[in-house]
Amino acid sequence: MKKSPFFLLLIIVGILGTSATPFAPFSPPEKKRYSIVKPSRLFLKGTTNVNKFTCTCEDQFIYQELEVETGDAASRFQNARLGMTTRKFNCKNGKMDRDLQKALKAEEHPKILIDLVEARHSPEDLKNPDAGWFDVEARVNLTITGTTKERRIKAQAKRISENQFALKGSESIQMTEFGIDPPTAMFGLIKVDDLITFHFDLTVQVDPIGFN
Amino acid sequence: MQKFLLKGFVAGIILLVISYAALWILVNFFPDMAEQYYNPIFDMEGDKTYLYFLHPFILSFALAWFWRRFKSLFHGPFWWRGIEMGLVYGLIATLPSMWITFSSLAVSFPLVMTWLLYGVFQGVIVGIVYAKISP
Repeated sequence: MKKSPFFLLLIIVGILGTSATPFAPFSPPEKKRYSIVKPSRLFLKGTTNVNKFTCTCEDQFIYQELEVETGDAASRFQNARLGMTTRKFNCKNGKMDRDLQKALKAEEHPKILIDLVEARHSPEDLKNPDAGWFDVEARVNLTITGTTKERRIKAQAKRISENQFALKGSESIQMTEFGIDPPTAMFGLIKVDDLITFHFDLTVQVDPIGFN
Repeated sequence: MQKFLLKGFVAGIILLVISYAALWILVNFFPDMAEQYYNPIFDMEGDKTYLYFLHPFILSFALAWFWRRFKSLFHGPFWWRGIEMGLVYGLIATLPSMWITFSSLAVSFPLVMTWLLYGVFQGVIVGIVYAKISP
């Protein structure tokens, strides 16, 4: 389990970029802007040796810009960076919030960064608005606490309207892989398990803003 | 004075081992109860951690004085005298403090009951130790 979820927003953007463009080996770079809109949900789940916990991401993702080159079954991206504020995770438990922020070194690294590099998908699914849910795979660079790892993420997407897509799935990461010490409590007797899973159920709005 | 310190130190070491064992038992056999410690009112990871591990010695030296002062009031075999002292300690010190804890802090009744029982248990252990080594 080596993946994180937030870049999945960016997958959607890639899909939308593709859907709005004729299929060719790779189109010229196209600028788009995207935003995550209601009723999106993004949360992480983890376990300790005594319980389970859920932390909801309450960050607001206002319109951001990126560049996309669209190909037959893939899209390549530049400046497709999504930053999530570490302090915006709400575990509904003040101590847990504090421990999570401390583990993620929120002071030093206030954002979790996801750089979308490439997204792969079936061109037939994108052409067909009645295709329902289809599989997507993205290559991303995930940066947590200053450590960057490349990941290949699988998710499911669905076209909702001309400029809106839904994206859902879950991905897990091992905290230690990013140099994060899993939080502990009660003198170390309560331990958060290394593996945490991000769940996402997102609606993404994408609009073209110009051409190069 | 040297004997007093030695007895207090011995009893404190025993309580320290028991206190950590009690936490271990709590986490491993009563996870629902242990989960309640994941609460902002508890600060068991910060700079004050060492104070928790000093509490067995605070208690052992306080009860060492109590035992020296009142041991003549306890009669019978050493284990009975120890139990009796533990019950007295529980009634005089632990029960009132747990009462006010429950009435003023956002902690559950079962959690406070574990503290009450644990306090009495500590008193009994120290009482038995003192009744044995300082009859």
